[in-house]
Amino acid sequence: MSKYGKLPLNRASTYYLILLASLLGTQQSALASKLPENHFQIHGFLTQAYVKTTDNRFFGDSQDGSFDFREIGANASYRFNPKLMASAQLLSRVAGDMYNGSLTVDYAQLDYTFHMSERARYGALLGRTKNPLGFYNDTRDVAATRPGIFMPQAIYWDRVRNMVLSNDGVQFYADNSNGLHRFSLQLLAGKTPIDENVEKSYLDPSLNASMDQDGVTTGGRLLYEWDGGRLRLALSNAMLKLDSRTTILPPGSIDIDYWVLSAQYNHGPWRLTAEYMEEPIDYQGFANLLDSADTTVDGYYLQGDYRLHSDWELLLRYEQSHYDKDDRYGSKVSTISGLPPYNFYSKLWTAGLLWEPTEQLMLRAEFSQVEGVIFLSNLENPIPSERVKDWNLFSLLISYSF
Amino acid sequence: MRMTSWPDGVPIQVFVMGDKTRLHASFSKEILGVFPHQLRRAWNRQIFAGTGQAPAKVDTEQEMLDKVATTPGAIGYTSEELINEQIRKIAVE
Repeated sequence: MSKYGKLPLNRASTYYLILLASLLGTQQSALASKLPENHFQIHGFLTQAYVKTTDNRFFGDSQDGSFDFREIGANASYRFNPKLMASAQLLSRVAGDMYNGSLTVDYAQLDYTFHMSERARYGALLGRTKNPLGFYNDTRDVAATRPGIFMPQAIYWDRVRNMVLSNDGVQFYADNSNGLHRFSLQLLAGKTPIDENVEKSYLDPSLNASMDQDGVTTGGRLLYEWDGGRLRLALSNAMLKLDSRTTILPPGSIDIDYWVLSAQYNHGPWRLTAEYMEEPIDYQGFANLLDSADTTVDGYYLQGDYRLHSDWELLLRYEQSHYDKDDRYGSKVSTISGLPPYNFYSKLWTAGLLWEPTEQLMLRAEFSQVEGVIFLSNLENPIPSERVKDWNLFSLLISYSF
Repeated sequence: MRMTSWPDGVPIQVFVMGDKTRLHASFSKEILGVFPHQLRRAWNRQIFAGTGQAPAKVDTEQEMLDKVATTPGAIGYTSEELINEQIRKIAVE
């Protein structure tokens, strides 16, 4: 159990905390097979955001003020016994021109624990599972768990979210605790549901690419936690190959390798988080016409959160993304492509306020100052000459979860 | 949330009170060393990734005592010495 932020027990206090355990069950073996009363659970969330930008389109017609950012999800879980659980979540997500709100199966999985003790837990998930990339990917669409109104785009791109969102296959997990140390390893292999957002990001929209996955996605995450999460460190990866056909070029394939390094420190009301992403992209085939497009995309963010009061929190975040880590501000690729350099990087400062008046309700307000447009969707901003280098973003969010 | 049964195989049933109650806040901060909102986020990360289930909520301390006493494998907390023969008190440190 964690000890960070632990307050000394007040000796003068008139009450004491007492941990309780039922004596039933441990003595009455006839009851041992009885399931907990809440072994079947239903949870859900409803999120609506408002997005206003000075220029460029982000989650809809944001220059006029957009309400096209809405997330509705519901899940059910059933525990058959302490080792076996089934769970599934349905999601409807409206995100400007990127997602139209159609219903998708977010995950649908069976979780079987092979071994469980106080120190260790090993098991496997089978079905559609969420990809554990970085600290936040597996619950990125749940406002109550993510670090702001928008995910930090430097790591968790909305324009290519499906590439790393989930997998149809298998995932193994191993948890080991030893004193203050905890190691958690997840490994996955499976098919990734690719969509138009991915097709229009890795090849120019004018090529009308259609992509199919070649083989399976492999990846996983190694997480280390010290002192119950006071310090958290993680290394995550997802690797996949996309076979691509276009209306103009000969066929080819794109190798994508996605690495994320994560660190977080929690102390009392403070939380400091940093994540770094590196993504080498290798274009093969296409009659060698796209060989010069090979690049390594990278990005990072630093975020500080401060809990002002039990219901209020402040956040400050800085993030930066580069199309080519060796050409950070796009000067070379600008010469080759003929597009202004600000198409190939982004820098964002975000300040925000969070209010959680009840356990279920959350409200956020954020303001971002942005330079560059790399994280904007080609579907939302198809005409390069209409993209503006310096712009501001203001957003509000209300979310209810149960 | 990580262990779902006791070593003898009996399922664990965790009972908690609301985030805003003084007792839950004390339990979170003094025993677990985290704020109630941090605990809730950790639960939510599992509940909405399908890898865990939420603890059961009770509204009063009397309900906490009754539930822990009558549910096999149950665990919870209280502020008062209302212990009876159906409940075992666990020393914390």
